[in-house]
Amino acid sequence: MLTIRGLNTFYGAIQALEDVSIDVEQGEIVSIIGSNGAGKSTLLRSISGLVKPRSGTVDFEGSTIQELGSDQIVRRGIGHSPEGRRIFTNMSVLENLQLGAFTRSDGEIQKDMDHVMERFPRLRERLKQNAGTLSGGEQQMLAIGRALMSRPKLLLLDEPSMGLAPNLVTEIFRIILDINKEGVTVLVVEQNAFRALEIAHRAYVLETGKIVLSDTGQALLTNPKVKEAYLGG
Amino acid sequence: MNLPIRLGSFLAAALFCWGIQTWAMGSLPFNLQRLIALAGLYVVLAVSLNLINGITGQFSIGHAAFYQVGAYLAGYFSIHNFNPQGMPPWLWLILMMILGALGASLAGLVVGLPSLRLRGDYLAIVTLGFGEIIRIFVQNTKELGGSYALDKIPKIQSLWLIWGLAIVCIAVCRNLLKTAHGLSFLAVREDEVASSAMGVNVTKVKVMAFVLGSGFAGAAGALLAHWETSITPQTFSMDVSFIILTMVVLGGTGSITGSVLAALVLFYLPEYLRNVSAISGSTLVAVTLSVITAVAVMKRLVDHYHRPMKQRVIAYLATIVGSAILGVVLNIAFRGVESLAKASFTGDKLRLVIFATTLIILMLLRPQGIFAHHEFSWDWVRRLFRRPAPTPGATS
Ligand SMILES: Nc1ncnc2c1ncn2[C@@H]1O[C@H](COP(=O)(O)OP(=O)(O)OP(=O)(O)O)[C@@H](O)[C@H]1O
Ligand SMILES: [Mg+2]
Repeated sequence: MLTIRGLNTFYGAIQALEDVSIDVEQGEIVSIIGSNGAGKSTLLRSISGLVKPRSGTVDFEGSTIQELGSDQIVRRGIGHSPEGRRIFTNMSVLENLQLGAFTRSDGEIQKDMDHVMERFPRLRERLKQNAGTLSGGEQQMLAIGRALMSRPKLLLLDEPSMGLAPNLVTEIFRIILDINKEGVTVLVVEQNAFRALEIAHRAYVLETGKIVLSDTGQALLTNPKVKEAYLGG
Repeated sequence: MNLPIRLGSFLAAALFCWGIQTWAMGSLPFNLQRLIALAGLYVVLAVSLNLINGITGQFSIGHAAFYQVGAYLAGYFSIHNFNPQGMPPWLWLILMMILGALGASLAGLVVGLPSLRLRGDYLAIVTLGFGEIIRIFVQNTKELGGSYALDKIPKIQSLWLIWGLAIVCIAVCRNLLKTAHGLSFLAVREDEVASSAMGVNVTKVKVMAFVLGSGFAGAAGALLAHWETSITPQTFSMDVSFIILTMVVLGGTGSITGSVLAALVLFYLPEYLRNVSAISGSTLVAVTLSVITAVAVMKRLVDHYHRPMKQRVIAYLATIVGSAILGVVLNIAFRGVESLAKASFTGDKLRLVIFATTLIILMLLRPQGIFAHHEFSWDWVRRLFRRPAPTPGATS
């Protein structure tokens, strides 16, 4: 579904991604793990068009998308829940969800809205509330719900567990599995390597901008190198 | 909004324009008519700049430049092409408004396209520079009057068109906010990255807001040119840009209601102060001291007195009454000081001082502007008179 080949992304003179190639197949959950500054967020941004890669190709469902604007990429079916949630804190929960559906004009927005609220009942109770007043966990749910409102085929999640209490982390990962079961392909970036590998069909390890390992989630969980570097020995 | 409300608002707006036209043109002296006209134009300028700065969160500080483009374009065209027999003057004026708006929008596009792609304060610098370029261009073009006036513009004075434009401008901005597009404008103000992640074309939104805002300023310029019949580059100096900017900031960046009210107050306040009669030194000192006291107390209240609305309002009123009494007492006391009692200051001299002081006080007490990002609505009025219902958790 998503094929990335030889991707190089720069911020000015800093090279954040170096010759990155990954694949995501329809229906998969693919995780990318790596430490701070490895380039995980940059990879997601390069896919969704928030930064333009200098070279390399991003193919989605058979067509090249790295030249498109981020709005076009959302329309093609890639939803991005960016790092740090970045919900619109001065807007209501409802308005946040409406903005998630900004690129759509079909008649099923309300239906999807209801579906998101079934998944996150806490959002329904707080629909008119300012999103900035939500708790961290609720904000994360809103960020995911908002990304789902574009009805993505591929959902990019950037550190969904960041700053959450352990029981909420469990809940968020359960929700990611649910979303995937309903047919959405998921590419998730995480520092919480254990959880990310646990749910992943396949995973990649990113180190200073380069892919250094790739295997199934289970295999990486028991890989001694991964164990030592990312799973605390 | 449902149809009856729409129709009602439209009728109310039409009635307002007709009323202001017949009342002012019928019974007011010419200089007051002019003040009402200019006030309407400032409403247009403030609300349209608010669309750019407040609603989409950019920072343009050269709004007068687009006002000027509209004024000179329409004025110049009118001088050479107006034919009183050709069509009713108001129709001609509408055409000139459209011409001014198109010209200014085009200028907005040319200025906006390159600078809006960039982040940060480039737009501020570019708009400021653009204002200077236009001014220098006009000053060096004999055809446009050079440093002197472009005069003999056909005199077409229409209060209903001026205030009609103001209402259209307010309505367009307000309705924009109610649509999905408007939501995307607000989203861009809040977080550009998140907006693009949602599929909002950030550059397009910014350019649209900028072009629309410039267009309204251009239309206002066309109306000004035909009202004054003579315009000079000084009419559109940087001061004018700063006054418009102040109106937006003071009213509360993002609030249309705030922009309208601030435009009216900031426009009339200096005019009013111009006519204030001479003030003695003792009164001046007394007033200054009581104002300082009031501001100091208020500042403390704003920062530390977190009580329900009613108690806060009482505290503010008490402060005002208290400082007023203090002022009266001090005034009597200072009258004893001969040198103070003899000194006298005319309102004209104090005008700008008072103007600036008011601004400083407001920025101290309410830096987010009087209205912050709130809007006037009947709902809000209703809530004000109802007992506060216990809201779960959130207050905004
Ligand atoms: N906007 C930017 N401008 C300049 N450099 C940047 C920018 N964003 C990221 N970088 C640099 O690119 C590299 C990769 O950053 P990135 O945010 O992709 O890392 P990450 O793996 O997501 O890290 P984290 O786990 O801390 O979120 C870092 O060295 C970072 O300093
Ligand atoms: Mg990151």
